[in-house]
Amino acid sequence: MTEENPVSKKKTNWKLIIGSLAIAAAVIYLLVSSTLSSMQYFITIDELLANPENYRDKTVRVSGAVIGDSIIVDTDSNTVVFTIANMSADHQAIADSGGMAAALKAAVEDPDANRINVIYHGVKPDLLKAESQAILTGKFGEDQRFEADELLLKCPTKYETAGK
Amino acid sequence: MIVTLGYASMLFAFFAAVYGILAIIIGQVSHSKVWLRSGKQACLVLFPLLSVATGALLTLLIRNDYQVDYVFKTVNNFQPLYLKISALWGKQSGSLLFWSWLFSLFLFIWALRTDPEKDRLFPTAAIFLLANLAFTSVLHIWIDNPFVRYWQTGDFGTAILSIFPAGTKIPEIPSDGMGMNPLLRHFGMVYHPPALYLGFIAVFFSAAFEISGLIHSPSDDSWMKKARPWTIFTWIFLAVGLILGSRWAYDVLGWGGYWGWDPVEVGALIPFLLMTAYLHAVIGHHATGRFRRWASVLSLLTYGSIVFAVFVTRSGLISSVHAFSASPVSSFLSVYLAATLLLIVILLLTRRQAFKETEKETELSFAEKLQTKESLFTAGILLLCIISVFCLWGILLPTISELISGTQITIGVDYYEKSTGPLFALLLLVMGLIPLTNWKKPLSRKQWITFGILALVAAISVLAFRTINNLPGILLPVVLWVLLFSVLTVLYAWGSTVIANSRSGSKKASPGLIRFFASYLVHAGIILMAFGIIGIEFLQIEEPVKLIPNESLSVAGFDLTLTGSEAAWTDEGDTLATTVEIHQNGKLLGTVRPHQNYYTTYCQQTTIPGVHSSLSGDVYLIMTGSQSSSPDAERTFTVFYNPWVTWLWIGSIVLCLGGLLLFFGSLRKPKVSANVAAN
Repeated sequence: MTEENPVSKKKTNWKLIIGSLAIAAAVIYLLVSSTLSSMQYFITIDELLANPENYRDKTVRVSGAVIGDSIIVDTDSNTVVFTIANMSADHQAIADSGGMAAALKAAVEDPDANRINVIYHGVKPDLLKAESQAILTGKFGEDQRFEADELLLKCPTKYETAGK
Repeated sequence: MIVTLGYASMLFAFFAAVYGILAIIIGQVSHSKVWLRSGKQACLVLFPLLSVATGALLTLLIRNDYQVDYVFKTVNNFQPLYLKISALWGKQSGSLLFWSWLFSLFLFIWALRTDPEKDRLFPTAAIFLLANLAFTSVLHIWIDNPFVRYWQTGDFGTAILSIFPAGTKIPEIPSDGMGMNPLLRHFGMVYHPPALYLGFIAVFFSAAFEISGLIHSPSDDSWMKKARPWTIFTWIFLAVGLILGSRWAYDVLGWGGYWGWDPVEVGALIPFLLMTAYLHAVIGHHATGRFRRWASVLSLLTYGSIVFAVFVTRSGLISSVHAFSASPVSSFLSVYLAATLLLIVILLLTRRQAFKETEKETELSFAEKLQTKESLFTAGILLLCIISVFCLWGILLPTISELISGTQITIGVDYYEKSTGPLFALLLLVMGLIPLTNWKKPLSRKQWITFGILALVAAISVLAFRTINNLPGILLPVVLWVLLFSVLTVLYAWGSTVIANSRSGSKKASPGLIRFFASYLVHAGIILMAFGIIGIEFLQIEEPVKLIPNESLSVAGFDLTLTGSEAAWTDEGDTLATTVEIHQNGKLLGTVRPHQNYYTTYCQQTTIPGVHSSLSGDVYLIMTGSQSSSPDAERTFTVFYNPWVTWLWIGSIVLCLGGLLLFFGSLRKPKVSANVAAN
């Protein structure tokens, strides 16, 4: 496990080389296997709807603007149902359109924006409300509904830059 | 008036920093003591100047001066004083000023104790520090200034942002502010960010010594000794900052956990891991004369990782739940990060010679070498580095994948758990093995026997514990074995040192001995924390329940009874608090009050859990969903049972105490204590 090479002996230390290679292989295996098993595609709603078959059985991450009126909480079955509208994932495009709060508002108010229905099993998070940005992790089902296993929310107020 | 004062002193501070850099360069080139002394004066004057600026912003916050944009967005009429004070670091611009102020405080303390004419490391170190301070000053003066105010434009409902009178020159003063983001309204806001800042900033000082040392006398490694108090200080405050953040998340955010593997958290964890590795490299260097290469490289990498952590938190370019938003500051931070990394790479390349090991390796066979303490130290350092790389990969993968393929690939919490979990377990094992080994010598027969006995005792105890408590699986018992084995070896090392010391008859504890016990206190803390983490990671129970008033329901072996609900209207919204009694085997364990607060200004609800803690575990209740305000309504909760988690916090306190002891020890002039280093 020592990484100093005993140059003074002028002899190839095979034990050290084989040991180091084995460790390196184990580390790379650990990194690759855990990356592959938890990796998700981060796509927009437009990209998802353009090619739903592509992502059918894969875990994907989708972000969108929450439509406030659509939030329904069912405390009996502990589920939350809501709709999100497509928005750009590009930082620059968001900045150009006047910041995150404006981009979210525009997405919610755009009648032509693609929308998907979401079902989330769990507690309604505090930040889930109109015009917040929802980042969902889960699968897009055959019934055109997104089953979210994980729900992350960002509040537009956090996006206001102080002292423009 | 206060705004002008604050703004002007920030400007003066910036120019003083620039002047200091120039003065020291002139002093260095022309060998002029006068100029060098003048440079030192510049280092000293920054703290008073920035104190005035910080004091000005604080005064504005306390006086609710809503004409100032920063005050409007972080404070409101009902906020208690402690939250008004912590509003100082509640948003980007204020926290940048606060950062500069803390930086100038450290600079003041350092410059006061340094003689610019005698200390060869002073000029370059001072230039480096002043340049860093000047950079953050640029950000909070010209890019994101906390003192900008609202001025009326003449059109109703609009306002202009400017420091000095603009528009119609009539101030626009809102009657109430927005207040701080509700999730930040917690006592944690008072101490968590400053603790991390202290840790982050101290790194610049240890880096300054090394960079200066590498430039002027690469063969000399006295910088390591000079940097020692700063590095231990960094280490403690990074630990404290991370722990306080976890506790805050546990108490407020209401998801039943303490660590979410968010990029910002991971970004702060990396410097902590690298700093831990660095401290061990220095110990190894002290004991064997080797590990010089590790120490030099790790110190630079820690510094780089701190700048990276600042970048992750403040640039808004890495998507994270608790980063600052993307802002004009982002591009400047990108340049800053690039410059820092460039500096590190240049130093690593041009000062390669300085990283060569000077001490010869011991003549041992390969198998013998593996048994030495050096090998285990190297293994531990390597493990910490690999974990850091895995963490870095987790933060960067989304950006890298987007650059290469155009589609962002993200990885979640399970990536971190799967990839770093086994490595942390190995690290724990290495930590457990180290007390049984010797520097430069393989294990003796006696040590092998001790090793066997301790391993066996641990195995038998874990098997017994498993049978009694019906623990599931194989993984958990294995991890518990590693943990118990570490406990036993630490106790063994402790005991044998006490016995050896009492035999040698010395009545007074030497500084070396204190350092030895302090470091074992830190390790004992880590073991206790690991126990708590194992409990919550492996054995957490989560269950959604519905409680009907005054009817008891059994969850995870506890009987829960909803005894009351109380809705109240406050100045900022409304709150709903419930009272739940927790019984076990007919005995009342305690009463908890989970509640929900709704904040009208932010249209946001926060859920504060009710937690009943005991040494065996926490019962943690969160109210879920929308609730009726009627006192007799039934309520839904998610109940968590988090076994052993209290030990995480107890271990944290032990770790901090050990760290403090080490820090105060490092302030004393150390005498060589080879006898203890030999342990």
